[in-house]
Amino acid sequence: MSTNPNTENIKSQLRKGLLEYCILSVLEQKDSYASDIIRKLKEAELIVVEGTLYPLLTRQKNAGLLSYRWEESTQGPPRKYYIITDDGRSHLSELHEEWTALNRSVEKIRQPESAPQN
Amino acid sequence: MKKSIRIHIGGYFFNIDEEAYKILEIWLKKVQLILTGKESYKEIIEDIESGIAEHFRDTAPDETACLSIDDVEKTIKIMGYPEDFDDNEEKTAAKEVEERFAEGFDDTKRHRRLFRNPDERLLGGVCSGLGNYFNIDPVIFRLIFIVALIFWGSGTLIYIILWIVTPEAKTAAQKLEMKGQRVNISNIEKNVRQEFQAVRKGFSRWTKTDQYSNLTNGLESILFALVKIIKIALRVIVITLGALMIFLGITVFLTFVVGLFAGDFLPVNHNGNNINFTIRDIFEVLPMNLSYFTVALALLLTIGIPFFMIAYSGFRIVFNVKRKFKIFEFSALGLWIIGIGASLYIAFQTLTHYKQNYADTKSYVLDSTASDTVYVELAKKYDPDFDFSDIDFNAFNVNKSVGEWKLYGRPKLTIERSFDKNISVKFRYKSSGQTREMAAEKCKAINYNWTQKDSLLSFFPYFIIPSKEKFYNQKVETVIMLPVGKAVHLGELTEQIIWDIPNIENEWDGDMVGKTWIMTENGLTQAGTKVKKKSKHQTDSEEDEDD
Repeated sequence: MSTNPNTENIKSQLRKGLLEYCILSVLEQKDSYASDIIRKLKEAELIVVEGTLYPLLTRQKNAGLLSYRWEESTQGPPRKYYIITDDGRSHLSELHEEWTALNRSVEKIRQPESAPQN
Repeated sequence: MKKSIRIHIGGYFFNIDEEAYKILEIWLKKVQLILTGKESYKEIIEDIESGIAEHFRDTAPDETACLSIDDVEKTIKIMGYPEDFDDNEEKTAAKEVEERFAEGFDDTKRHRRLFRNPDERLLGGVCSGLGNYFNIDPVIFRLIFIVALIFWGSGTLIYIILWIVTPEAKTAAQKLEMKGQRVNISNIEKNVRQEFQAVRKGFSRWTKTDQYSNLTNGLESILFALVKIIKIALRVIVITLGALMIFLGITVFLTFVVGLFAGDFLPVNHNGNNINFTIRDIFEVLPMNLSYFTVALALLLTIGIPFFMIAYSGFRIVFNVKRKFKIFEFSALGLWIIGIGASLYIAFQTLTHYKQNYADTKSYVLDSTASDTVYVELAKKYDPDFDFSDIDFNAFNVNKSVGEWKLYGRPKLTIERSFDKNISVKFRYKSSGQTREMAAEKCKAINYNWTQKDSLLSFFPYFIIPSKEKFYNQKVETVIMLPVGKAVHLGELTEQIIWDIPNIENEWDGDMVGKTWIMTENGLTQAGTKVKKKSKHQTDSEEDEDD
């Protein structure tokens, strides 16, 4: 565990940036309600707490990346199912490209340092 | 035994342990405070609540189960700590909230403020806010406002002022303040005690660390109690002042508005009849080229706004509203300045009608064979509508009872020495006007009657300005020109018209009636006095000479 607040800050920002990308990815596969998304993210060990998710979903919805519909559930009140919009899809593909490129760059940067040693 | 509470969250009902409920409530309040001011605040909170409900349903699937502290803490752990909801990098909101709670987030400590309640509003949320402030059902305030509507619409005015004065509770923090501490005696007492203890604690800490040691506890507490009492007294004075301001402001403002636009401004009661006299009536009588609406609007802005603002400030003081709402104050100031400008313009415009003066004199010589003493009396009224107890504007009367306005002027009668041998009566008609010609015209229009029957002179108590003529400061001055040796008897009723008659005894007008006055070389004197005898002698000889 790092105690450096700066490290913590960068970590949380990294995670936050990725979270948007991941939410859209989850929704691209299937319309889901909040608990579904959280379960998926948890399975992928990406999310620590749910609190972060709600403001994010609302912000994405306000930005036009998502929309939602109410769906009756067998028990209790109707659930809010989030749907990715066309804007959301193009946003996601941009994010995806960026992520792939970034990933590649990071790999590249890290590779030469270790290569000569091996 | 533990107490459990039934709550409704995210569309489900749950039974929850009281202690667990407290933890959940504080957690929710913190989250609300952090998210406060966000674009879709309400929506996010709803989502969070339904998220919580989902977790609760996993732990307490049926209605018989009761959520424990453990269950709530587990859910909170999954949901995240309040700061996780803050997506601001510096986490300022989270810090602020923590500081607030560190100070002791306790509803009993929180001061209650007046806010408009946007969640339960019918119109502006004023009544709902008042209900929260006084802890009364808002329906009661709504009823009061509706009832007050009947009284000249005062309810509307108070409502509008409150709407302007009171800020809307937008953030969760404001909503908590809106529903904050109940204002009642035991709470005030508790507050005072708490503050007192806090001060004492700080004070005793200081006494321990410093060399201070001599003052006794008793003296110390008396001192602080005094300060507290003075503080409370000041607050009471300020609130009383505010309430007075509200009352004064609203009363004057409403009276004024009603007077301007509705009539019945000065209901004057005389002889059991009500004469309703309005500001509009003054306008009708004055020469102006402007429409009444323009004039009324200018007056409303000039006089109405200050009183409106007095009421406004009163509300702010009484309800301790701390808000900078500059747009409203500035626009009021702007309108007021416009109003003053317009009023000045109107006043200037009106004054131009009084620029020029004109005086017209008519003289009537009495028959020289008439006796040495003339009797001056007041003639009977000749206008059945006229009554001198009507509204009296310093020698001017307005009578409206015929439906049409009539202006009556009060003539002034005086006595001067004549340098010829005849008694004569001189009438001086005066008027102002935009031009000299116009002033002269107004003079000619004045209608003043008098009669002479032998030595009896009857003057009417008023002159008439024909209907449709306006007020141009018309005047009628009657002068009885009295040669030395001749006398005047002033009838009792002439008190209504005589005006500053110069006399040797320096008697007031009121004391001159019912007596006979004789003209001497030195001036008018009462017949029958010492001086009179002397002068009578003189006049007699003069008369002899004449003959």
